[in-house]
Amino acid sequence: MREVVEVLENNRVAKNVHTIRFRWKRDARPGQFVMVWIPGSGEVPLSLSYVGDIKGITVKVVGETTEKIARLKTGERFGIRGPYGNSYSYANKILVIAGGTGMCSLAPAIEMARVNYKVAFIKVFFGAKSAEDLFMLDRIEKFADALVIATEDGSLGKKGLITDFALPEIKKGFYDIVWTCGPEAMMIPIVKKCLAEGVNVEASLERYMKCAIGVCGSCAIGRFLVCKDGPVFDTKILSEIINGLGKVRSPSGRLIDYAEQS
Amino acid sequence: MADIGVEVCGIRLKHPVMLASGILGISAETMKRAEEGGASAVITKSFSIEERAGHENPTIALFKHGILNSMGLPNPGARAMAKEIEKAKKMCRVPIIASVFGKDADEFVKACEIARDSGADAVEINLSCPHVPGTGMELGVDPNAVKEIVTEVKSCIDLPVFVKLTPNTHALQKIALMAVEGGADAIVAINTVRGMLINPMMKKPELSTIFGGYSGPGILPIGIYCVYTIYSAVGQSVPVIGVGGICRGMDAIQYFMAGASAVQVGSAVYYRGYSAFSEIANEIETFLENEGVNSIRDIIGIAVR
Repeated sequence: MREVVEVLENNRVAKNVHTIRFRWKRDARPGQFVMVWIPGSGEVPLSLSYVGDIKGITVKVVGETTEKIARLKTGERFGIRGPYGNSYSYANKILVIAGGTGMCSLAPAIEMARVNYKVAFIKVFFGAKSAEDLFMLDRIEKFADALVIATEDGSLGKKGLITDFALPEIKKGFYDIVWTCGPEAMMIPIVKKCLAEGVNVEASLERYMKCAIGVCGSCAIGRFLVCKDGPVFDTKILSEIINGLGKVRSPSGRLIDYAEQS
Repeated sequence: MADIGVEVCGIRLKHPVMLASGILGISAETMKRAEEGGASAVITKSFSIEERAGHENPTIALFKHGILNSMGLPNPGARAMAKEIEKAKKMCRVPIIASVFGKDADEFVKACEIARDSGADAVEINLSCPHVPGTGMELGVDPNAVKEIVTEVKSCIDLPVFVKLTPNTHALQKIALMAVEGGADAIVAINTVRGMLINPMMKKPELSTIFGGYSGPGILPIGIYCVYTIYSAVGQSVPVIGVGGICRGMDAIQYFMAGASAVQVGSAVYYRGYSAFSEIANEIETFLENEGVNSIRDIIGIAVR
């Protein structure tokens, strides 16, 4: 039976991006996700963007169900199950590379790295199309040692793709781990560079899901299931599945290009 | 040492615990994963001639005694699945059994022919999915339709044909007999049990399709009963393969004692992880050894003879 929670607040944090806060007494770790159910509309996987007693999801409107989630008002209810999946590993010096809503799962990890793990150094690269697509900048500045922003239109921070600025940071010897979450076209060169340089990397992947409990196979990449073995994959697994990245399964299970998915 | 090897329709299995259809079997790599978890054979996800997206989410609801699902037979279509089977045949040592469905005998035959050409070791025809209109159990509760489909499939392919039946009927013995008359080489029972859950707080069904199919520990007694009743009707002519709610070796043992020659495991992957197959096989072996039983053959139907 799905649990039902009540919206405490809904804040628009960027263009078409909303953060919904709700009280949910489940232990959760950054990187984990939940299945959010809007009766009559659908159920979608969403990363937890806050993992304390008052949880949060940060959702970008991409379809009917995410639009309904983004429009939830204080006091309204939604169904939830989870949390599912694994989380990031902490190390002393962390490089974080986020693209767009990839920051949803990384922001609580950055916060936990500083507050709970008291890591020595966290540098964050955060990219998006435009300034209006960026969010949680105050939160990241508060917990990270350095923040580099890049937008494709140059409306905030450096102009260009975040990989233009983040890739040169990936060199053997300084960072103990690289965390990345965002569009796959962004993550593929990051993972490849990390593998080539011998730098530890963890990438959080997103796939269409049905069961979310490791049985149906909808989210399979190679022999791994994103819902059960991921969504955060480590260096060893990434080196095995790197050639399968950029392809996702449509609801039928057919492999299609990442960019083709609706 | 107890012998837990079995032979079903001429297919040798190192132990009787196979992967049931619908779980993991979407690609060669996930089938390989089931093999690594110990499955002695792999049944693919059910596929049809044409690609199907399946039902809208939510397609799953969890509760205390099991899992309710209405995946809606999502599959990339027979051609794409054939490629996965070809690849799986190269990657895996265990038999690969293709599960197929269609809306009529003609579609079943076409899907089975593609399965045969892909190198599948057998086909399992799905006459039992309880949540897709026009196929599955809608055909599988009609004894004449069952006979017709099985007859057509048997006349077109020379692979062993497993027929997977639904518990959602009062006429299970008749249906099983008609499947055997049509030439079925084995009967597989059961598919999921029709069921429904409502979320009281939202005042809505938990599945987008309102109802779905119930699997997991709660359906164990239903499956054991169905195997018993089928075994009573056809047990001398074809093997019965038991499936439904098996999570422990002792669950499988009950299926054997009701008349099953082998078993399939699905939802246990959720409860016990991917090594469920080898764990259940080990538990079966331990039970047989403790009881001084030499072979699974010696206990098949022992409780109901």
